[in-house]
Amino acid sequence: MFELASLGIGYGSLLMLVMLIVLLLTGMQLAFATGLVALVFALGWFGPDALPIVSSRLYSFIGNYVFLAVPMFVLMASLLDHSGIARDLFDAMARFGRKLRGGVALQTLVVAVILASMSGVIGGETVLLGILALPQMLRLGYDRKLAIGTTCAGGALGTMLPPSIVLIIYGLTANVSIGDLFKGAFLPALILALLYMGYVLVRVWLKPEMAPIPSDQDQPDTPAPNFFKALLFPILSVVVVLGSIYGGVASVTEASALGVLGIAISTWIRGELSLAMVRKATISTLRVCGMIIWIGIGATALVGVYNLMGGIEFVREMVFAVSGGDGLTTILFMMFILLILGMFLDWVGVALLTMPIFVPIVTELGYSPIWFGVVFCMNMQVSFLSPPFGPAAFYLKTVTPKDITLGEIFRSLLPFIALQIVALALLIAFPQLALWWQ
Amino acid sequence: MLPESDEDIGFTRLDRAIVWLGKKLSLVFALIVLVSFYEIVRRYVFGSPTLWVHETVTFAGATLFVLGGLYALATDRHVRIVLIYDAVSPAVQRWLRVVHHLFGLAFCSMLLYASWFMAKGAVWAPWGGWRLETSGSAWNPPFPALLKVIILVAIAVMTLQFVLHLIRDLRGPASTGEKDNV
Amino acid sequence: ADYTFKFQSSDPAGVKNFEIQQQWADRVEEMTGGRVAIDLLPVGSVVSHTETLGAMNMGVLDGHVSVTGYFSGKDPAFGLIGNTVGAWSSPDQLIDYINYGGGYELMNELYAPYGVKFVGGGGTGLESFVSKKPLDGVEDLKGLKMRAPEGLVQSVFAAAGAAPVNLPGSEVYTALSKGVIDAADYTVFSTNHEAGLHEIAPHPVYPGFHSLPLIEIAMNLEDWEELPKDIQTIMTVSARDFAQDISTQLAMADKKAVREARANPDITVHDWSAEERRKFRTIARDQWKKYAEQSPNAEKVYQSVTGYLESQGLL
Ligand code: NA
Ligand code: NA
Repeated sequence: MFELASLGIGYGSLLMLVMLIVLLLTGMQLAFATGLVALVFALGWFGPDALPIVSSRLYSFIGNYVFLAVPMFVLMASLLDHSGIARDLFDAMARFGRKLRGGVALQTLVVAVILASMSGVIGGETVLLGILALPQMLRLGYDRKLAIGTTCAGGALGTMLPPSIVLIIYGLTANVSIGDLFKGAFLPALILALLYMGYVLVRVWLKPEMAPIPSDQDQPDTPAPNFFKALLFPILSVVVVLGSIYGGVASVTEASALGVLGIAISTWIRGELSLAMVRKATISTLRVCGMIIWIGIGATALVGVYNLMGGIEFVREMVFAVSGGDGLTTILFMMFILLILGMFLDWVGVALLTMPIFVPIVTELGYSPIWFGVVFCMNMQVSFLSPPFGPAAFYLKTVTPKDITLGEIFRSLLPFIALQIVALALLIAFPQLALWWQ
Repeated sequence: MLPESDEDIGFTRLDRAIVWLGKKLSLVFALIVLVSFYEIVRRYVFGSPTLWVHETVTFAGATLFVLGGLYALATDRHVRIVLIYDAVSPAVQRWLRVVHHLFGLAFCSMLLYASWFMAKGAVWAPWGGWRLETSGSAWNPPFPALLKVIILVAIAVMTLQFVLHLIRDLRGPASTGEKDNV
Repeated sequence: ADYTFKFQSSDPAGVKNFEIQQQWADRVEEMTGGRVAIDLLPVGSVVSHTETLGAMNMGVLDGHVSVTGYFSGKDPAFGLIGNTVGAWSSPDQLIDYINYGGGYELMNELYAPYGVKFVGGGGTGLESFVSKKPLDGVEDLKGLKMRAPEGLVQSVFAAAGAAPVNLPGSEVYTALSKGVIDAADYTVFSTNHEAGLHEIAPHPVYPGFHSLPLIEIAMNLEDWEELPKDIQTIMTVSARDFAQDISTQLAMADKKAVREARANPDITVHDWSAEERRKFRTIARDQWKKYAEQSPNAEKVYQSVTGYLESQGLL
């Protein structure tokens, strides 16, 4: 064997990172690059007996009922896109918000918040906005970076607002009430969304050409009176989805299936439904899900191998090395670790590695574990966008045209990452933001 | 905005077969929608939820996710970071692709080994004899065994895909030469 | 340490179960004078909770602390012994069966082909039933959409007229709050209470009428056979102590949480009458026989458990 284990976990982690970055920079597919690193380390560190970690994690990952919401969201978006509904919807929005510079970007963020309060599957939400909102903003002449950043950061809001799988996993790990976590995350999530909106407004105010106001000639021929005929049913179906989730009728996966059905009925009423359109939509769904899920498979494989290598123990030693300091120093150091890990791992990996160690320390220092859960969730917002491993950017990339590269997406996200760190700092400085309701 | 069709980018025959199969099977997503609706109706209108919908849609979804990975590989749509790739000459790009195929083969062959043991454990009892691993629920379908076998088959096909792509790119600059990777 | 083992738990790191398991691991290290170090990893760290048996077999993991019923899909025998619904009215009865009634030997016989050693086990505690609807008897279970883990417990609920699905534990909260399920066989009262389940499902049934899962410590058989005799004895004796430890500590935590819940006007703790419990137990015992027919090993479990119950006058 290669005896990688003799490196020790410190150098092992470093080698893992270097290998991953080099593979990614050659232009190798992300999904296979992360998977390959996982397999090489399983083999080199433990021997061939450990290779089945990867197949086992692959099996458990794809058999997760929650992920079924991803194809449902993508299918919804594809149907909206292949029919004329998406275009009509955004035309109506552009008309509605025409007086306000940057109106469509703001509306995109509002839609993102609504989607986020429906579910917490950021793959589905980012793709949905990427299919619907991004092309429309580009068509209306918005600044590319602003449009890309708004779409991607907005799509990633899904796990910040309840229902949120990040908060649920945190709640189960830290043994605190999931309902309390949901209540605690609500205001910080809104603050983050408002920061995004404020940023858009300030940017377009400083530089008006970033978001042109559509002149009357630019308006498409479809006149406003068609609004009800064209959009009543799509809007009704969104209401049905929201209603069935909040009315406690259906799971997120089921509700998104209801949404697909609602949109399909809307296209039928508009006279656009055909087998050919459904086929186009389902094949897009297969392709997009293939990309998204396989990125997840690579990431989950890497996490499993790293945990077995002793990753948890490694993080523990790092924290204990500095936790002699006062409470705030420890918290800030934890934030540093979370942000760094978030650059390279998906959030499940970060949670598995850090939660068992961080939560007891935080509680011992006298901080509220509910507050820390919200802080953790905000950190994961950053991890979705931060390069080189930024899942939301990857998800968006699966549906963007070829001339929008991952590099451009990541560059567009930098100001939004800065805003997330501002929100994180606010949350640490004012824990009341998460605990005011107690 | 989404590409209307997956244009031929120098498909191998295997790629074409996967695209064909993907186009047929992707309609199962529409079935998942209908079956989920049926479950909601059963639950609220008839007050008698089913035992089978939940496990069936999860299994169908899992199978499509695996197939989607093969489909994205056949149509070269898996997400990549093309910072360096785009900056180099077509000749270098071709060699980079050869390297990717070789790494991809390394990935697949190790995963094939792992999946073999997983699938074997799911269909073959440790004391000998066939027995399909089931879900252990009240309905108890053999979905775990089926899914583990499907994974094995899919990884085998993926291995073959990488071999064929490697041969294609070693033979010379195919039509993919000018193509901007995703 | 001479022997370093990676064990994966079927519980997340923050819950009491995990804490008690960690204490066991620490005690083993102390009792062996540091010769054995057990690194206990939380659920899902390396493989998912349903895959740990295979992972021990292949040598990915050295051991696990988990619930036997999760492996029901590999052999119905694990479903039957892992949660013999209606057999035990307290964790002590299950511990007695495992330690002195043939359970230990039987589990080792069942695990041997998988290359796994059953070190010891017992019951967590009589689980509490989480429900959004008031349930006061078997009749109320009709048409109830609910979550139950793999194994016999699913069939028993189905036979009682409920519609059980096996959702992962992480989905229980959302599924309850979205009305996908109305009730859940989740875990013990205190853990349910801390996770906030009673805020959204305010009609818990305690003590549970339904479930007493077998929690076990198991490890790779080859690793086990390499251990010197004294360490083997330390492992088995400490596993026996662990079984007592976990059921006692959880029962105490449950009583405290139940007091809290009873004081809360929004939560109604339901307690089934002896008559209703007997009805449910009768349904469950009918299912044992059906389960036993599913595999030769399940038949062995059936014979062993019913034989023990008869010998103790518990049937
Ligand atoms: Na959400
Ligand atoms: Na990141």
